[in-house]
Amino acid sequence: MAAQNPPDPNRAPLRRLAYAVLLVFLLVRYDLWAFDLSTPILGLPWALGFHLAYTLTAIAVLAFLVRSAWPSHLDPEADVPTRGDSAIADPATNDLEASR
Amino acid sequence: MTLGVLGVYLAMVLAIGVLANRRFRGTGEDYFVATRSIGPFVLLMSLFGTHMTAFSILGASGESYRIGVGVFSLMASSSAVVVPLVFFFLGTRLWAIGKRNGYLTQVQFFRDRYGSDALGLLLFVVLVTLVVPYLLIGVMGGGITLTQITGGQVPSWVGGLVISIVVLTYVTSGGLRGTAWVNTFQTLVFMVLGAVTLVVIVRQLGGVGTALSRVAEAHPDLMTRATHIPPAKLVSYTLIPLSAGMFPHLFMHWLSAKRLESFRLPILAYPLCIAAVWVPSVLLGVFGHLDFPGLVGPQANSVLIQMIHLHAPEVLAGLLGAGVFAAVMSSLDSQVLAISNMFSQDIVRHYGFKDRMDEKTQVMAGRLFVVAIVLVTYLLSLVAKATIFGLAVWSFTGFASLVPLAVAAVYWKRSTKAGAFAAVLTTAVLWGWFFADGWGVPGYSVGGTGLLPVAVIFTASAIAMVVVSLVTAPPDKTTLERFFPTERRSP
Repeated sequence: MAAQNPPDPNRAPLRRLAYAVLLVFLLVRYDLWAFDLSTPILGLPWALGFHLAYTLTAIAVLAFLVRSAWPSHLDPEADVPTRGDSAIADPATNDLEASR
Repeated sequence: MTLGVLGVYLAMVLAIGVLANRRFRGTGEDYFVATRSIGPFVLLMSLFGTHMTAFSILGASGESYRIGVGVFSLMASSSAVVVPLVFFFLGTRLWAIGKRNGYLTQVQFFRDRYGSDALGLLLFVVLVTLVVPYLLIGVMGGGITLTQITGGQVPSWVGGLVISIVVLTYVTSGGLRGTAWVNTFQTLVFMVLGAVTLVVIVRQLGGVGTALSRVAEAHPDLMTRATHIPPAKLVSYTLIPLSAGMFPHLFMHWLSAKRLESFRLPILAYPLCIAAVWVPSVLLGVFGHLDFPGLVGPQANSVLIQMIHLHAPEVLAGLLGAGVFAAVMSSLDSQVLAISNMFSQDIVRHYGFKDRMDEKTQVMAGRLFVVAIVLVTYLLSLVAKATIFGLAVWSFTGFASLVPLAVAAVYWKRSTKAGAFAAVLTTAVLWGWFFADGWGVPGYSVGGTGLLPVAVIFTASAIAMVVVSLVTAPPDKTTLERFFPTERRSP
């Protein structure tokens, strides 16, 4: 099997931040303190309204994850920049410097 | 009139499936993964339509009727995050591995990854066994829908039979391309008609706020989770959507993706799609108490259809019924195709029948196998007395508990064949034990703690994988080089 490109090392900090945000977001779902709460949120009882808001917020969290940690190195058709490659823009940022 | 609308809808579904057959190139790869040519939008619709089934429409509304709006927090908000993460962390990687190696099934991957025919055969049996309850809820859902939407004029066995025949017809003629096209159409139908159903019924009930207040007066317990949902249940439900990582039908759709980039849209749009389907199902299930109080056990499966029948005029009732049919069939078709694929590739081809059969005969063998499985499922649906929600959760529990195997295979070089066997056998044994202990027990949990069996089985499966892998010899370098190719780095 052909060798594959490694993940872009320049994006490692952003990738770690995305994983951290994701972890915190996963924990937010456990609203165990609100099990007997019926306070309306979004016009719905808490048990539905809070989790609907959580579900919609997930889109932003996933967008950040996709933006920061997309596994471009897996794409056999993509010429993903590696350390030392020059003049190839980072596909996520379109930033020439980021790939150097 | 209602039946006429449903008939027209089923004819349209068949026509799309048959149309897709005109693109069929006569190869197994084209039939089973559409020559890996599916783009982002059809991939999203296929994955979502396949994942959402009678469970999300009839099961969710029935369960909300029983335990209240907290059902959304159990399954919907967890699925909205966990399933896209499964696509992100497992789907993309398995797609890349599948594309490089020409895989068409999960069994092919695991058999090669761990170098074991026996593991492949064991997985084939376990996966097919776990798919049967999943198929069953689709067939049951079809029967319930047709019976209720016609006011009992058509018996439920006819609905299940009609759905089975229609699905078998378009799947066997159109393969995955037909299934993906039909799924796209059907997913749009059930998402749009789900919203229409909510609007139509809620307007007649005086609006969402009024309807909620009326339910809260009689059943305040349905507005919070304090009575019906133990905290441990909420926590352990997080594991249930992990099942997406081992569903054979989702794996097959992953492989059909044209490019890695095709996964972006499904990952990002999934939470929105979940909300669009689950909010109407949960609300209408709870509102069912206003019109149909006192439904018990499996009777609540039909509360949504009974409300459509009561509140919608005939043509609209037919359309809304078609929406439920769409949700049911868009899952059933992919499951049927996945089983057919597995039998053709993992049994017929792998065990030497390929030398005695041409490719079309192999596809035909897969079709015959799947007819037999659907027949068994249909017969089971005639005697099954379970709630759709409960039946689905048992199926999802088994698949979710196999996910440590998938994660180890993709990410952990040190995982071994013995570890893989240990994980699968642990899952099979514990799932069988819990199923025997808890089947038919409403709200079953481990020792009455609220903890779902999936928490125990998943953990045991993961521990078995890790411990047994560490005490057995590491995999050989050839295997590692094949599945973890040396990363190309510039000096």
